[in-house]
Amino acid sequence: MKKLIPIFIALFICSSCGEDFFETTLKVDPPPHEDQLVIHSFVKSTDSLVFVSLTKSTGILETTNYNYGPIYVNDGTVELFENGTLKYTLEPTGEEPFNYKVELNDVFGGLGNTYELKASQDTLGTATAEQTMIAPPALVSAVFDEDGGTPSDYYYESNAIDITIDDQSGEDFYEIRLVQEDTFENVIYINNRYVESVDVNTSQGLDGSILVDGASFDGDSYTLELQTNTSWDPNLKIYLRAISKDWFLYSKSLYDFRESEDFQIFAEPVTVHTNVQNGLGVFAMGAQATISVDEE
Amino acid sequence: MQKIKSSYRPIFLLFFSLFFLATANGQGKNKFTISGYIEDATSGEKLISANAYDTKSENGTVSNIYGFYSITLPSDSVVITFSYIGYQALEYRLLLDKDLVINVKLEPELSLQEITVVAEKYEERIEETTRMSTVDVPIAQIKKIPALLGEVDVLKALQLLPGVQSGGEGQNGLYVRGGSPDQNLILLDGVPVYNASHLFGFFSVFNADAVKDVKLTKGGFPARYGGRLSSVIEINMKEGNINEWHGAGSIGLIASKLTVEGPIKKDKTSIMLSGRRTYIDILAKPLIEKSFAEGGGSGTAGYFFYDFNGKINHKFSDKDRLYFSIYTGKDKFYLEETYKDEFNGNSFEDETEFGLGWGNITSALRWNHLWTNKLFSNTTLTFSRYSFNTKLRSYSEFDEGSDEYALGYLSGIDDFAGKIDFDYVPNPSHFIRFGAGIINHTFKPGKFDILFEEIENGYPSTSIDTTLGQANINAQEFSAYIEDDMKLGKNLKLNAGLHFSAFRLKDKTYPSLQPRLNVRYMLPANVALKGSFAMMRQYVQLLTNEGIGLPTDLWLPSTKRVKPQDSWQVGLGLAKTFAGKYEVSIEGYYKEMTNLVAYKEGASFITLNDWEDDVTQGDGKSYGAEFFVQKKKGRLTGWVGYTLSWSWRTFPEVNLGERYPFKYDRRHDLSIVASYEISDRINIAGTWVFGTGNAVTLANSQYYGVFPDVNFPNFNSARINRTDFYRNRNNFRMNAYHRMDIGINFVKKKKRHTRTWSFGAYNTYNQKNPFFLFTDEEFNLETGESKTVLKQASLFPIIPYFNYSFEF
Repeated sequence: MKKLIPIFIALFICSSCGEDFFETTLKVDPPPHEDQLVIHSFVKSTDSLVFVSLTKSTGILETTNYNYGPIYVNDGTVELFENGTLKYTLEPTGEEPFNYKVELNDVFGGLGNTYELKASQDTLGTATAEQTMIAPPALVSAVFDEDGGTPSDYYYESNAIDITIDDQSGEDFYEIRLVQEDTFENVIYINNRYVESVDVNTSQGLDGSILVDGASFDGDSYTLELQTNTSWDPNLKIYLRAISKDWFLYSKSLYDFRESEDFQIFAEPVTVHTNVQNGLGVFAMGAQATISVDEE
Repeated sequence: MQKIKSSYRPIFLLFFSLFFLATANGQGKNKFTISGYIEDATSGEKLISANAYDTKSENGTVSNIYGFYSITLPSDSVVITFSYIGYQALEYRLLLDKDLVINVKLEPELSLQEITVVAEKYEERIEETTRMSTVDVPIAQIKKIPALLGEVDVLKALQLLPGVQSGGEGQNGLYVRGGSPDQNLILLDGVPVYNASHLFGFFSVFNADAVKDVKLTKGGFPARYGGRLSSVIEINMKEGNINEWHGAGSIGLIASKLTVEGPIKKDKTSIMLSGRRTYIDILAKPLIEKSFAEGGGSGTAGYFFYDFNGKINHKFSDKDRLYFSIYTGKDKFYLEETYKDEFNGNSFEDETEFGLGWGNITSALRWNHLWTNKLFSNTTLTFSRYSFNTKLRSYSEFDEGSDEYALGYLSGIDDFAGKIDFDYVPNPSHFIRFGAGIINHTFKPGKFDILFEEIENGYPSTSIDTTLGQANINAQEFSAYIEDDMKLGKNLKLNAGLHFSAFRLKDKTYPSLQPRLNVRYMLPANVALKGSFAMMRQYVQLLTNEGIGLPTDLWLPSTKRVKPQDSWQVGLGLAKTFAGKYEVSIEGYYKEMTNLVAYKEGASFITLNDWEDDVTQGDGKSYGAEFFVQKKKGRLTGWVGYTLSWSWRTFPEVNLGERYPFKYDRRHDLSIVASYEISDRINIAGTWVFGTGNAVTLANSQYYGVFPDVNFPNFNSARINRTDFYRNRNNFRMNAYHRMDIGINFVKKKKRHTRTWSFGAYNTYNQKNPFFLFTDEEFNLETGESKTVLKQASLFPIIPYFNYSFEF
């Protein structure tokens, strides 16, 4: 035993002498990737312009060109089909972020019709997505309640706005925004006002919007409370949009993704919703109702 | 409380009919009972699952966890053999004409020495037992397994068994048959241990010197167990030598241990005390203080953990014994720094304090009572506490005033419990267990104390002193069970039982009835065909970002919104002992789990949301096959375990509702454990493990998400956000994991003690095993371009160890 001890001590010491002893990283291959078309288009029944943003995705390690913004695809073809028939061909505009558009003679309309958006490009192939235009929501009232906000554990907004919706039977999703419309030289400028809600049917959406899943009040009238620190103003309005499920899921998941970026490895990964076949992004439709906020 | 579902009534009727029929059977006259305790002759430690077997009638029984046995036989001459692995068997030839009490003391076998055969051994072989999916790992074997930094670890030894996986490199979390670590009921002397980890999961809280027995059950759960879906790990502390004083200790690289045990009153009262503490903080203290001083200030920092186990038992009579056991352990990280300076004639002083601590306390008071020679009871009162706290304080003092900021956080769980268990052995064909219990849980989901105070010219300019967080939750968990180990004819054995549980919150009660069944049928050539069915329910869960093993992990109850988790599992297997020493089993299993809990996409434990808003519930499914060969006797001991398995999760709000592989879905998992006694003085041991790489979620591609702002489409305006796209959760496999550990022990008996030098190495061939993946920038000097690459980080290279231990 006494003879062995020095051998073990030598082994113990020498084992830490290797050239790359503390080099504990190895390069590994990422998951396989193929560049794809990325479509973003949001159409409301009252719009007279249809915009499409057409970009492309890249592999997760391709950062050289990607750090400076989306890679726009301006040499593609973008077409919109209504119930299987080509309705519009969108033209490239060279603008960003929506780089294809078509101007309509009237509002989009199309209630109940099915639309297919098809984008193609020589090397990236063809990507498609489908939507059905939905009916505008029935927005009954929006009433401002000074100091009526419900405090929660983590925030306290002083004022409340009670919004009543007449929900139709079936699967319904909504997006709510509180805005202040100011008119200057006949041009309406819309300012978003930040709102929150502790209602269990709501979740936070992008651009300060509140998303509502109508499943729990299907076919009923429902009043939910928004909280805001905005003071009452006669120009305050509520935009209530009936939105497709794809709009709802995309807005919710992209919001969650953005929020999770703050927590990096500690947050669970978020799959951003897509309804694009052979591509990424979203083609979404909605219909909007607008109402002024009444003073209590 | 809801009424028991009518669909359960036939199960009740069937079970109770069987029960009464069975206990009535064999109650005829001219039968007598032999009962008593089976214990180690030298230490007086009670032997668990020791055998008492009548070779004439070919009937036998086993001792319970308190060493008690009872066997009722016809009035006749009987030849009773008492045996236990590692002990010399003892034979009694008797004319049984009255009830007898025989307290048996078995002498340990001395390894590699000539053994005088006192009696031919009858040992209950794997094919004899009804239960399947259960493994006993002798603590002596665990102590020989080479370990990280030489620190013997009970839980890491269990990870080497088939059906059990580790979470990540060095972690002691157990993933049993596709379940998560919170689905394991870890019992230390019958008390649940909520956080079994030291040092962020690299070491377990169980000091092997204080442990007597370890048993893992991963399926075919008997009715006496409940409360978790995936496994039960029973760890029993030593009782303390009742005959003479002994001790053991060790000095290792990171910790030292000392255990003493002995009689307070011989044959009546014994005590065992065991402690362990790390000392890197003490050794490094001068260096750390010097480092602070060199920076111009003063301070200290360090980390340590400790454990203390204590147990005292007193024998009032042959009918009454009392045990009191306690465990307490804590991890603590601390940092204190003070810095003083002057600038332009103004002096200032900064103080910073940071503390992080977590730990468990468990204690149990147990009373054994022998009502008759066939009816044994154990009454237990327990207390268990897990708490985590952190403190951060910063104080600055300057000529005009001072600033103070402090943040404290406290979370944890307290349990008070009481239960009573009965063992009733009416005849050799039945071993009936029944009992009931109640646990009062107090969950502390997390409380923040915040202090923020600024003082200028003697007057407070800003002052906030508040407490934020979620209220404590109280809940009661009730349970009752009955089970019978039945022998129905020569070839058929059955363990049938019912477990009832209920969980009561302020506004909701969840009842549950869970049938359990284990069947063994002996095929020709002594091959046992075994099957099992078990339904389980779990009312508590651990909210954790899987795999990291942080002490911030929160134990939380089922609530009105968060439903209890349920599972059902079936198993089918074959078992046989070859050549009297190789236990071979092959088992297939299928398990479905519902109402599993996971963080929603994007959620994190760091957020301050109500935890119920951050979680989602879904289902899981796992299935596979396990192959196990174990050799417990001889110079060469050890096992080979192989698992082929699949494990899936489906959560409506995760992965777009599509099924995805569980993070610890591991297709192949192989462990080889061997130790060899070269001589009385030298033994070597080695392990080799191989496992399919863990599943991780990597983005498939990246793009910019676009969302129109409120002025769209009147203006071509939108918010854009760089977005990673994950096609599927857990879509990428890290590299396979494999590692070999080798150790050698040199044992020498001295005049007053035995000492052992242990040497070895963890990860002997320095395999760079995956710990996590990350992206990195690589700069090419020749082209001047940088490139993003994906890299795998490893944690432990080869880590040699040595350890000195002694016994006296």
